[in-house]
Amino acid sequence: MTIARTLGAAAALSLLSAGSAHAQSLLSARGLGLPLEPVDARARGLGGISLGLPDPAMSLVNPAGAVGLAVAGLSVTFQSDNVAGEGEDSDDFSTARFPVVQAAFPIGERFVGMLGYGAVLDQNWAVTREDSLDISGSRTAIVDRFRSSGGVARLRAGAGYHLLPRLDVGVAMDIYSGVAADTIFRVFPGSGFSPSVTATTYEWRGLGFGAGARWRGDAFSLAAAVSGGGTLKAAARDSGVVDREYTLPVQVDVGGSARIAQQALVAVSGRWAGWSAADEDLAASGGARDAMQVAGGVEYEGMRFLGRPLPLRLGGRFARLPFRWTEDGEFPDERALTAGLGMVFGGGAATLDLSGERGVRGGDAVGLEESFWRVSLSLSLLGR
Amino acid sequence: MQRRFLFSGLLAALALAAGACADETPTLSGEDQFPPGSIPITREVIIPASEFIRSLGSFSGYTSAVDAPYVVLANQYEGALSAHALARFTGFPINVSYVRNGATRQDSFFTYVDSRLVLGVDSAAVAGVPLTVQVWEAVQRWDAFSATWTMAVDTAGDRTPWTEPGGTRGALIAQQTLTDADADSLVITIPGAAVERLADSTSNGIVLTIAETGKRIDVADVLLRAAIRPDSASPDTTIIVTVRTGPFRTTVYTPEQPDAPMGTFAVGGIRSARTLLELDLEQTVPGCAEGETCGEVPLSEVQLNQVAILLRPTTVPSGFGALNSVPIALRLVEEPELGRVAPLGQTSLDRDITFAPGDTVVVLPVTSLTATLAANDSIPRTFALVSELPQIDAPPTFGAAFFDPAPRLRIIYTLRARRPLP
Repeated sequence: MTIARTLGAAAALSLLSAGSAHAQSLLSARGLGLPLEPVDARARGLGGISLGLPDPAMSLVNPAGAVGLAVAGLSVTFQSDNVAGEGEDSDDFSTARFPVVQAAFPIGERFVGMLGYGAVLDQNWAVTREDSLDISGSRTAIVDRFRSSGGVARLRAGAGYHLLPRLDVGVAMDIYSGVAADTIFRVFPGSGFSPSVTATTYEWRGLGFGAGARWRGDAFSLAAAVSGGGTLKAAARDSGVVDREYTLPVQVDVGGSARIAQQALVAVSGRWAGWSAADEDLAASGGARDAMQVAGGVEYEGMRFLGRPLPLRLGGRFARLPFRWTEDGEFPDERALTAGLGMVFGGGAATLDLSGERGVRGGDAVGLEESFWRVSLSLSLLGR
Repeated sequence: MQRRFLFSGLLAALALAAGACADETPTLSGEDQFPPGSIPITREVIIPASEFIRSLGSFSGYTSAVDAPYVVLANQYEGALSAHALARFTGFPINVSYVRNGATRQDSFFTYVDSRLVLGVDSAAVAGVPLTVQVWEAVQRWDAFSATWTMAVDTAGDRTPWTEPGGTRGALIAQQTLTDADADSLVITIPGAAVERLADSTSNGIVLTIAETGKRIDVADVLLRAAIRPDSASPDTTIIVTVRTGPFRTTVYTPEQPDAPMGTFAVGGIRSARTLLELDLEQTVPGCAEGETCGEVPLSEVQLNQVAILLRPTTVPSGFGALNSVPIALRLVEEPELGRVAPLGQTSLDRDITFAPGDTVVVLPVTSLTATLAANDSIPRTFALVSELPQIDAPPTFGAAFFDPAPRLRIIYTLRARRPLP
């Protein structure tokens, strides 16, 4: 009962903001927004690997990832970014959010059900300008502000199955949802004129499917997952705008890990997402390309703190982002170095993982360059 | 139990971490960063009077001089207006108290000595300095509620004209010259013997006038600081008692406040002129940027930044122009067919407006009213342009304001901007 209450409280806490991803980059302003990685702090400490670790763990990437969990569990991840823009047109900013919350519950010896909710596309950004207008023969100051709020989130329900002694498989269904609210303000400072505010809201809807598998050997593990299918629809609540549809990309993740020493593990993963399928849909805003990510890291488990294991992690990541910043610029890339650690409490009933990242996105040829610090904190609770 | 504490603590730590971190929207700047179609377009449209307003007539006579919290003095101001103030003081003491050798004493035998008549001056309503205010003893009975320039009493049962129009005057009690137009008071010394007479219950009070022609002044307050010397006190003991007029003061003036010429909008003044107007604010405006060709759209389809009636003041004859700021309000008239006696409803301007002498245009903001009318067909379209202060029935100013019969309607609006999805 106590555990159930705690899990409930954790779910409520995380669901407060998991669906509405908060902005992490100015790149949210381009294409369909900034694609987000639904991974926890352990994975982020290892460069942001999306799958491939040997032990059972809840995952929004691989529906087979939780197979092997002996008891029900819940994982909540908190993330905070501090982003510094390099251009004159942007300000520094910091963000905080719960990018992913997930739960898994074993059913019998071989099945594991899972439910997760995570951010997929971040569409939070704003732009302002100051100018003046000629009204009644005199110049009147104006301030314009466009603000996009919202994004796309994904509710994933899936099941994993322990198929063979070393092979687990899983399938999942994704329900995409979200709201993008555009608000356009014009204010007239000091003039006594009423400000004008126009709001337009789009509802995102879509359906997708996923499947995954994991092979666990004695010294190394391999995993692969695929998701995609269907379209992402933006239905306008305002009659003055037109609904749009975008092809959801097929995404393929592969990864693996190997124990290189008794207390050291190396893990790598790669991702390909076929965003170029939406290139035509997004042609007016610069188009889209296939996104790609390679990540890897090392975990050392030899450290102990207060008698508890204290795994340390180091990693790195390179990613090709799908949406262009300017119509004639190059597509942006992202590079990051990561580090992290974990702590186990209650004999494994609770795990706290912490990671930090330092990275850069874009560059001169892209037209935007920003650097970021990111801290992630994941709390995983098992209902023992 | 220990595990429960552990989980709760970890969750609390997570919640605290989330709460402690700022969450800001990444913000770009510059026009070129706005998505296509997301920069609003603001336009200004001027609509002539014939298309939005119709005057149903100007009326006055809703207040009289005794209602005003001020009195006015004028002497052939602008060659026409003469005004005298009448005041009768009440509340003179029957006995006085004073302290002698630490003990409080009372004396019903006392003498008035030279005292001070203090006139509170509205420095914004002084036309021409220097001007000399004269204090005359009134020698004819008058009624504050009915006295006019020619009638001392004009009630149902008593119609008594002045022997001398403007208030029958006796002896000149005192006079004092105001030299500083920014002064907020004028103090006039009144001889003790004159105060003695004013304190008599049969006194008719005083008449205040201006000596020089072409001058005018609004006096906000009239009070007498009577200096009293008790008979039983030492000769150097003087007690000051403030005596006021209460309701017994008024202004008599000639000529009567002028009516507005046909079509002209008259507002305010001592007789509280008002003009009934029929407004048609359901206008249409171009639905595109200036220079582009497009159809008209109703106001309900645009964002109203300001809708304002622009009034151009015209000259008020007979010296009745306002010297100070005239507060202006627009009140709903629900039963316009009642004409001059139609009751007034709620105020309809976005904010309080005053018309100051020298203003070339008065802007009456009716943005909220326009939006309301656009959304609700059942609201009456008739309004009264009045001069009033909130919660006060008195006429705010002695002078009135007249406005040109061809006002304009200025609509500043912003077209709805929308970003098409990428």
